[in-house]
Amino acid sequence: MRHFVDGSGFQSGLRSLGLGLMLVGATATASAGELTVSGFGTLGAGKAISGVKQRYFGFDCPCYIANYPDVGVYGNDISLKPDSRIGVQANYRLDGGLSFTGQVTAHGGNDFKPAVDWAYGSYALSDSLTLQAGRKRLPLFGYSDFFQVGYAYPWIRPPGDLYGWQIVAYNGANLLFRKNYGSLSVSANVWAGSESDKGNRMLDLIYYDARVDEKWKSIFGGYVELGTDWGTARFVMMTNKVDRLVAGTVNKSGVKQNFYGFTFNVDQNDWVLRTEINRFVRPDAPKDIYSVYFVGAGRRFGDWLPMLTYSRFTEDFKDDATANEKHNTLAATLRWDFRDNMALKFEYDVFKDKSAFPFVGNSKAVAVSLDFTF
Amino acid sequence: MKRVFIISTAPLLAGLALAGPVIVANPGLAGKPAADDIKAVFLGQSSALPGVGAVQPGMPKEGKLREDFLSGFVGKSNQQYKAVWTQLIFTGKAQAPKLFESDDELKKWIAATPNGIGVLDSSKVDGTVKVIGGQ
Repeated sequence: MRHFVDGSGFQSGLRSLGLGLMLVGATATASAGELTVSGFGTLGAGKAISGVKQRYFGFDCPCYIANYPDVGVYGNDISLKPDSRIGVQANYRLDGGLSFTGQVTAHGGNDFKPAVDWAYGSYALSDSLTLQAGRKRLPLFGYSDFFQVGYAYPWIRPPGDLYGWQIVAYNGANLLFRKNYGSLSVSANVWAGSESDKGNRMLDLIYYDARVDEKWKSIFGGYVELGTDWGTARFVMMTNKVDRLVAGTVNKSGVKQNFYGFTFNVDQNDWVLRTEINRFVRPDAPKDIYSVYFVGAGRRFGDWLPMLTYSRFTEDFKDDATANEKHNTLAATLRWDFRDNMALKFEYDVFKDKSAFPFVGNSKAVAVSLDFTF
Repeated sequence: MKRVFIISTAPLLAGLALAGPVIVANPGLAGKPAADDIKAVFLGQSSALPGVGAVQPGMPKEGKLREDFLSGFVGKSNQQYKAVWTQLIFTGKAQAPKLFESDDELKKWIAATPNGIGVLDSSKVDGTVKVIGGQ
């Protein structure tokens, strides 16, 4: 359980909120604050339409993993769970550059148990520099920190081949820099913290079929994003150490892992290009390397955006090649912005499983979603 | 795109009080910021204008004026603009522009907000606000 109501993440989220409320109490007398409540959601439905017939752990296949971290998996029957989610955010802003933000999300993959991935305070150190502390989503790869916010991207969900990380939020602090230099915008962020997740859903249900307690400690990361009128480029690096207990037995203790990522997007004259290449390395023996990328291209026709996206995941485990996970997905998507703050999306995925061990198997899946903000 | 808009319409409008989006500020706002810097504020890329400091942007909630401003000055469709802001808001990177139901409400807010900048129809400009861009 990642950070549900009974999880440690929620408690630390509450602690952050509690600290926030104390600070609000201390300053509220000085200035009246401004409360903004907003939200987002996706109502999705789909099914696996063909693929390898088999039993994989708890799943009746053919099955298609639409969402790894929340374990949203389509099977033979039409389901609303793998892609449906909702989020509500409250932001309380005071004069003097202080603000507090909390966000609660619920995903169908987790039976809509509420999760708190965001609960933090912000303080503007200057016009371009902000200090934030509390609980936040990890801004690891291009779509990690708004992974749940379907309205903000072209697909029903970001490519699963890349977005299959068991830890998605952390408790800590970060320094955010945002400024424009003429038509060039610069956004940079450095962060540090840790996250402990007792009973991690993804590792249990998709990879171990056993209870997994996962801890990412000594997290240090940073990204730089550059933007122009026609596109953006984002570079990211992160390092941390992992402790993992599988069914109560030590599986990893202080194992170092490093992340490197590059995202490049173009949106110009109705043409849309979305690309990302990431590399994950556990450098110490047994050395393990994941190389992932996706390339997506589409064209806007008024309110319509059809797109084709190819993504690939390749593992290179140095000690045991029979343990290598490998798969790719070709996704055909169509987004229709049919009215303000709402988009209808269609997605067809062709998943090819080339893993060296018996994994979920090939599958094809279809899904439709309604994304909205409020 | 924005330059095309500004250059192509300005001569046509010379001497005529034709409607169109302009960027206005509180009359107390110092200087005249560059178009790129104003655009960066409306795109959430910056929260301040050089030589001015932190500003708060405001714009129409919906309608033709908003769409003309976005396509002409910001260079984005309404949908692209909303997708950009959806990402910024739910990742805590920037504070969304204030949205107004009418020109009059927005004008009143600008006049009462020392660091407010907003999008107004040029025909609504009067002494309570100062035009800083878009014409």
